[in-house]
Amino acid sequence: MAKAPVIKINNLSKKFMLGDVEVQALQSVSLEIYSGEFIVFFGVSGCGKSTLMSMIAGLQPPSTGSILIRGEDLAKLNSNELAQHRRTKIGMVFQAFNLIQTMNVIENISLPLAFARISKGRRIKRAENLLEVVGMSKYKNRAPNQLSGGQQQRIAIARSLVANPWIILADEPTGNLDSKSADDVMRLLVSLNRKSKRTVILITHNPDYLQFADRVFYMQDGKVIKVEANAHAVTFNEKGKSATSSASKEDDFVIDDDTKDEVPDKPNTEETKAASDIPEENGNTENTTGESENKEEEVEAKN
Amino acid sequence: MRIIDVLRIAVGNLMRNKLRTFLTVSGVVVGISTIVFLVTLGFGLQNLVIRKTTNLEALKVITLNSKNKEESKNLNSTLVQKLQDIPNVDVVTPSYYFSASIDGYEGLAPAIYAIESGHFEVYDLKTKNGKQFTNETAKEIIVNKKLVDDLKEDQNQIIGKSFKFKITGISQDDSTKTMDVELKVVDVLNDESPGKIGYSPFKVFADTNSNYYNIKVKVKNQELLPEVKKIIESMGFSTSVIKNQLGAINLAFAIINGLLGAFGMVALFVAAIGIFNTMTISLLERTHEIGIMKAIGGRDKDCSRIFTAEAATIGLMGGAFGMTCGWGIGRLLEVIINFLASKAGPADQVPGHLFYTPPIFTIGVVVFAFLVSTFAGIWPARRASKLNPLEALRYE
Ligand SMILES: Nc1ncnc2c1ncn2[C@@H]1O[C@H](COP(=O)(O)OP(=O)(O)OP(=O)(O)O)[C@@H](O)[C@H]1O
Ligand SMILES: [Mg+2]
Repeated sequence: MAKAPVIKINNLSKKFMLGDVEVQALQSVSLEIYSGEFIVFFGVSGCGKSTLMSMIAGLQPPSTGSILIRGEDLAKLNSNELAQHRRTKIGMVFQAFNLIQTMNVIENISLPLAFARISKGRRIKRAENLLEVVGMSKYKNRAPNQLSGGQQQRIAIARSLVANPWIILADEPTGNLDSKSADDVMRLLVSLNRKSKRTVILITHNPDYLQFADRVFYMQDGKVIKVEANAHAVTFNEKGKSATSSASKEDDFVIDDDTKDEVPDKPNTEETKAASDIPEENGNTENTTGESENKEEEVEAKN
Repeated sequence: MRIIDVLRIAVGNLMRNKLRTFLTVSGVVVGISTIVFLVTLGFGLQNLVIRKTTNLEALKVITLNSKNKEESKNLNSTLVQKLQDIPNVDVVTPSYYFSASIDGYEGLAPAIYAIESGHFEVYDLKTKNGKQFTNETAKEIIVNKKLVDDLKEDQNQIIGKSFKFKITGISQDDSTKTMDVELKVVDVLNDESPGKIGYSPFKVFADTNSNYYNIKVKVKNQELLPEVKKIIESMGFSTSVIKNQLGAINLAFAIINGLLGAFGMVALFVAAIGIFNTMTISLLERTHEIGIMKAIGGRDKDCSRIFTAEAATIGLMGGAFGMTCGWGIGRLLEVIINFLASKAGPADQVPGHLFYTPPIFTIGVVVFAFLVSTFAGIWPARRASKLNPLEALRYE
């Protein structure tokens, strides 16, 4: 591929000290992930998948090696810049959902935009659009603990998308779900990748999900032992599943938000609206979030 | 994160834990109202003492004294004229001082002050029946209570009676020279002075060859006093003003207020520990929440600001309520005390305002509560900002 990778990891290692014992969570991992890919990390428990993912999110630094996101070395970012990195470039989805229990659904989804200093009105509007996308509009004023696991995970996915990130990191998002809810969540993630060309990185223990991946990284003992490309990654509908859930209708995944007018037209008209979510494709980071972000940094400079 | 959103989250959190917030705010209310109650009582008593001990007219008066014979020669009618010309001077009035004896009262030696009629307020003199001298040259005397007693007279009966005085010290050249004069008592002074004193019209002694005892200068208002005083002192005279005693009263009360405030501060300190405690517990409860916030793009600063805002809000609420409570309790007490005093004794024994709340103090106390609370929230807020999000996310 001639394209530059979205994520480039060079010789990455991570050690933990547990008392006197040294735990080598990652050992000399090097890999490249390209825009729009659906990647699965697969491996037994404790092989270092979550560690790798949290490092891509900038939540912990490498022991050695480097992580470059669109050419930018995470090691060079200070804590504010790392927060901005997580807010604007990364959307995280966890096994434990990790919604804030003291906030209702709409507040949870819009919280990343609050960190980006976006006004309440615009936040709510954007969050409502995403609620529709994940088929949860009815529940917007519910508290997270009044929702089922699958519903909570859909909210978490909506939250991960709210700031238009380049990359979705999903760490065992179906781990706590029954198979029906798991299907809903997977359908969302796959559709998210196929329809709006977002880079999705999925950690899973379920071999059934490998078929969705463009590439699978097999991991063992902190190392990537095998990379398997899948030329015919399936989408959900091709699998011939019973398409009963509202989220299964692919067209539902179009994010109809107020940013669409600000995005230049793209040849792919079918995806125009959703394409506003892909700043990497047109190199235009001056989307809604980007603008406000600049304002924020100005304010920060004064402090 | 915008301040408004920080506040939204902070207030939301406080509202969620209503009981805890209420108790923590109550702590601040107790601390602040204690301070307000005690300090406004201090201010109130200070004002009461000043009100009851000094009259306001007396605060406008500068007295020119003579330290020795040489100086006393300079206190004369020319000087009176000169003083009159100083800007902002209202009244200039000289006085004589003599000692005297009274015919028929062996060993009784009252002091006689000769003062100009119409300027009693300058001397802070109050007579029982409100009488002054009939005119500038009337051979009259106003005596104080002690002198009435020593004359073996009754305060009401003595009025209208005449006594034969032998005045000594009427000449600066001849100390043996005396003057006999019969003076009629026109009123009795309302004073508690232990000395035997009488006041007579200045002009009665105009023919004597005596030096002025002192000259009193009354300025147009109290604020102008220091300025005029400086001018007089630059003319080479020593002066005294009642303000000097006021300074001592103020100093004493500054100390008392400080002590009262310090007592209140102890209460506020306990409240600050309460805030610290609440915020720390809140931090431990919300470790997971903070971890999530950081994972989805919250900055360290955003997390710490939420905590700081919560502590500050507690302080602001506590300060405002505490101010109101302290003021209210004082008001209530004042009404009760005045009511009881008016039942029990004469009208002039009713103390009036016992509490005084200067406006600056009102604002100052609320700001102070705000600052103390914010300070108590600094450490929990810092811990929130330093929290490792991965550790926090593991708390499941
Ligand atoms: N903070 C830490 N301190 C010490 N050791 C750690 C820490 N985080 C991870 N490890 C260790 O690093 C190794 C990799 O952990 P990691 O969580 O990445 O595994 P994983 O592949 O995500 O496993 P699972 O599938 O069970 O989630 C494990 O041996 C783990 O014990
Ligand atoms: Mg894991």
